[in-house]
Amino acid sequence: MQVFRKLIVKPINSKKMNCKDYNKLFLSYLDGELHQDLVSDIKRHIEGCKSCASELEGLKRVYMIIEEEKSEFNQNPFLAAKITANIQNKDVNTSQNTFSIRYLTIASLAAAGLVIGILIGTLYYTPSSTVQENSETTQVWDQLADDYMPEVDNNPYNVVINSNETQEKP
Amino acid sequence: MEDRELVQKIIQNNDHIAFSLLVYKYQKLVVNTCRGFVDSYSDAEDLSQDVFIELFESLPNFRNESKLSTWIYRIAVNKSLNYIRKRKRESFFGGFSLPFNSKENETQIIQPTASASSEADHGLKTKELHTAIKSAINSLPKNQRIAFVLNKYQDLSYKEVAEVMDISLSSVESLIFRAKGNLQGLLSDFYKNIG
Repeated sequence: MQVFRKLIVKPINSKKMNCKDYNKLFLSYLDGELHQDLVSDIKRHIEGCKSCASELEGLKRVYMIIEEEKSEFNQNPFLAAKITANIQNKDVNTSQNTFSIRYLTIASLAAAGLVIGILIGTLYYTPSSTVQENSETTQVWDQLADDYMPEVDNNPYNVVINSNETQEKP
Repeated sequence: MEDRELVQKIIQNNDHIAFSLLVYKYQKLVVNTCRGFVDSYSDAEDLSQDVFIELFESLPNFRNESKLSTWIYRIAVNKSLNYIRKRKRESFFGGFSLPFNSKENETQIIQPTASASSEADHGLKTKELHTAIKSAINSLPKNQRIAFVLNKYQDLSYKEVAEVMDISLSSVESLIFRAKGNLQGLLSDFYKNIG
């Protein structure tokens, strides 16, 4: 049920109202929502003002069009079936998505785990024995080299110096 | 069957027959609410599908504190506003491709011919008026728009509009009164332009 509370929007002096002020009240006037005094004022004004009368006719047509739009409705017996099908399709798509997302998550977690494992392994892995072995081997080889090839012969600078000296001597 | 029973059947048993009954019962409410915002009836019907899907998904959250119809109105209004916003965004970005499709657009412009009958002219004006009304309604501030559509397209009382919008009765009166004044201004410009 419509609650039409009569809006008391009557200005103190209606003589001060111009066409624009009246026009703004026309839709409320058509809905019967105005105070009786204001209704009488509007009626009086329309009788003497052609442009406002035409404006009011135009707004009546607007309400007619709204009524036309409301009457366009046709109960669609297939709407429920369409919607149910859409919901089911949506469910299937969502479950497929969750399926793929689940596998993607597992794969990425496994990859991340592997990377973290390698990183941790690299940080805590100290190849001390190999280093020792290497250093020992190097020392042995150095000794051998020193024994068989004296340091002077192995120094390239010495060789150069010697060669210069020989050149300078006439 | 009562709404509460239908809702329980849908939630507990995923009962599609109960849901179909609900769709049948509230189809007019949803389509006409959407029709208040969108340009064509087919758009309103398409949008109503989204509304019912959303309703189906949100039913487990529905507590019987308010009426089911109030809940449905809210979903329908939100879906319609989102749709309008999306359309505006699309038309805004669509405008950028205008220079590239200029030939296509040229053909779409309706050229009035001297042989056009007065009946066709009247039809065109009516179509223009439909578009102008929708455009005017969608130019209103959001709350004025919602209050006006619920009142005019659904014939909801001011009290019912207040319940759906969760605002006071006096706020609804004020919103609808201002909406009517604004609409008159917007439509007056349209009448001046068409002569």
